[in-house]
Amino acid sequence: MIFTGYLDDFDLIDFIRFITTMKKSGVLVITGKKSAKIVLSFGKITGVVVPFEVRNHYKSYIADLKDGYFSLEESHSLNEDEVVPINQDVSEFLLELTRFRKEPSDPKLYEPNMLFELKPISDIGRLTFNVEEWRIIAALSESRTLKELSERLEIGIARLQWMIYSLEQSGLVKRKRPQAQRERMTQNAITEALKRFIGILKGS
Amino acid sequence: MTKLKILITGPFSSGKTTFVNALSDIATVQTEERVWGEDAKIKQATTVGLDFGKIQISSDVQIYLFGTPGQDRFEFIWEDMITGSHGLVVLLDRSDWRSVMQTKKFIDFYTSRTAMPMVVVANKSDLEDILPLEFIQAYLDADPSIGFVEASGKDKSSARRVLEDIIIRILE
Repeated sequence: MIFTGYLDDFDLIDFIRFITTMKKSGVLVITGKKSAKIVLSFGKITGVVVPFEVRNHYKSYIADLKDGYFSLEESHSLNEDEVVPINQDVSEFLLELTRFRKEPSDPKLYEPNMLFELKPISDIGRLTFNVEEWRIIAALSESRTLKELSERLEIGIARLQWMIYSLEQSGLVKRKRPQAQRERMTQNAITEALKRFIGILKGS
Repeated sequence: MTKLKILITGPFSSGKTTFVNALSDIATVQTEERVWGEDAKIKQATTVGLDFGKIQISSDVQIYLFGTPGQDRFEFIWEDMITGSHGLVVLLDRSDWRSVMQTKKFIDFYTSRTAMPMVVVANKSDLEDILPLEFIQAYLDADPSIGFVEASGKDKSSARRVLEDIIIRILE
């Protein structure tokens, strides 16, 4: 499968999370007004290649890559001297990238009544968070809506949306389904007809 | 007459129209228009309104299948179509990584808005060079209440198994 596309269509952080989840190896080459390479080994980020003058702040440079063409190349030769080695958890690396972003790429997806919960990550204590992120993570030990979180933590909805978005992009937080009672199939005739139909499907 | 309404949704070119066609007892109602630009490399026509199919399961019970358009510029239709629905099938094309990434948006969209029974279908499983199921599941990381099955919408029996799965979830 060929993994190529444009950053106009796919957010770089989302794409990195996708290929790391898929345990991909190779070099993600980004070319455009600005260029970079991200080195992957079995779903771990092991290094980056950026222009020499930005090596000391490569994370803000990568976080700012918003246009250009990307391609995951499985056999891409690199000059080892160019590679900035990385030995960091993928979620933490992505979280650091999101911190350099100025705004969510898709803020309309967030509404005050949406429920969020912390993903069960065993080594969360190993990750480095800032105080605000820790407060959110602690409050999310139980699932809460954005509005409830805002009231509990006394953080404005707009700021909270952005922070939750960062945590979600990093793979640490996810949305939870609402618990509202759904309409139940209480009419016996319908239930029986559907059960008969299931029997027909199973028999076919 | 009682009607059970099932929404068939998912990204562009995930196989929604084929899926509705495979299940419907009637000639399906479609709203296809010619595709222009980059998307035309993937397919020639796409749904711009909805696909509609019907299954008569007894003299007084019918299943209505509504296929949504896949492009996110039709997001307003996705929301409107939730009303009155009993179940939701989210299709993805597992031979296309773009489709898998876009499916996350669909799951997030519906997860945030409705508690109705939902099944995610890794469609086009008959094709070569498809993404492994366990990685797709790991990436989507959907709520445990959401079913996850593989299928090939072209195959009628495979489409029926998906229908069976969502109906069982509706009955539970």
